[in-house]
Amino acid sequence: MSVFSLIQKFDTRRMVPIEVEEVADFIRGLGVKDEIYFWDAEISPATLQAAITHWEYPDDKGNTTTVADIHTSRDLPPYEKRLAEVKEMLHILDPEHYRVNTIENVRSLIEKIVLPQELVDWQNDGIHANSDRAATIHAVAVLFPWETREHLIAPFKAGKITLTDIADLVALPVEYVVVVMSDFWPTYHDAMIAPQKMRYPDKVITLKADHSAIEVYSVPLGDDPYTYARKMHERNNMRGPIASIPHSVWGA
Amino acid sequence: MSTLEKDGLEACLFSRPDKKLINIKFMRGTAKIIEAGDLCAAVSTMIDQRDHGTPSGPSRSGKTPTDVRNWVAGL
Repeated sequence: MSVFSLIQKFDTRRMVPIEVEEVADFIRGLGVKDEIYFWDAEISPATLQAAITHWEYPDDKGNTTTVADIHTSRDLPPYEKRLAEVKEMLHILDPEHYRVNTIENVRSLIEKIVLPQELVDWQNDGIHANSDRAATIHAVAVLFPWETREHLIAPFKAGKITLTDIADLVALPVEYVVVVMSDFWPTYHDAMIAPQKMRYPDKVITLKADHSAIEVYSVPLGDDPYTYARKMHERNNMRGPIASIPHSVWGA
Repeated sequence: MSTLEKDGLEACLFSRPDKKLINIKFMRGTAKIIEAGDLCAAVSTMIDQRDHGTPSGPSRSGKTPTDVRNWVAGL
């Protein structure tokens, strides 16, 4: 299950506000076994509003417990806090190549995340920083469902309700309500759920003649398939040869 | 980022033998200028507080759920 399908699942909701616990329950209902904990942190929201730290705890029996800690600044206003909690929780669904789990990648992400908006370079900042930033707007899409917008757009354009009315209805910061109620939102929304409309598999496992597994992954657009495969190979301590096969060949 | 800050970050994220980091992500603060070292310090603080505190639970809006279709019909 990807974040894109999660957005689609909430798209038909017209009962608002959507509570953070509902999103957590929904993620658990997808079969995610991770334990999810929320923590109030005494950190300045001017420096860091929120973070997720996602851990594996191995035990003596060879089993692993996975725990997602969602940290938010204690001083965040309520609507901002809801958004931050959901944004960080969505990272539980991060695919492998979005995950940041080496000291070099953590340092690199921090160097990108501290940049002010005008220095953000979506073309060159890389998948870790981009996926981190994009998650905020994904969280907005979950907490402000498409059908809710559809009901509100006519009275809003007729001047019968204000952005503040809507913000209080969905319990989100006004600056994000502005984005959802803009004429650009349908395009953003379509782009967000577009991957879900694609019918290509994220991952296929098949067997060789000797019944050993071959794993086939789709590669993020713009990534070099061989480099991507080699990184995944190294990260997961995989053995055996690597082959990159264009989708036009295996997807035909 | 200074060596001290890098070491602090590495210590709080990668030094524990009982757990392994599989992902970390951030929601940037609201300040126009944020030093990487200040963000590192905030990360160390929040992890230390997590290790010595109790979870708060998810936040709640405190609002009664509203069916927007009915709400709009009543305008």
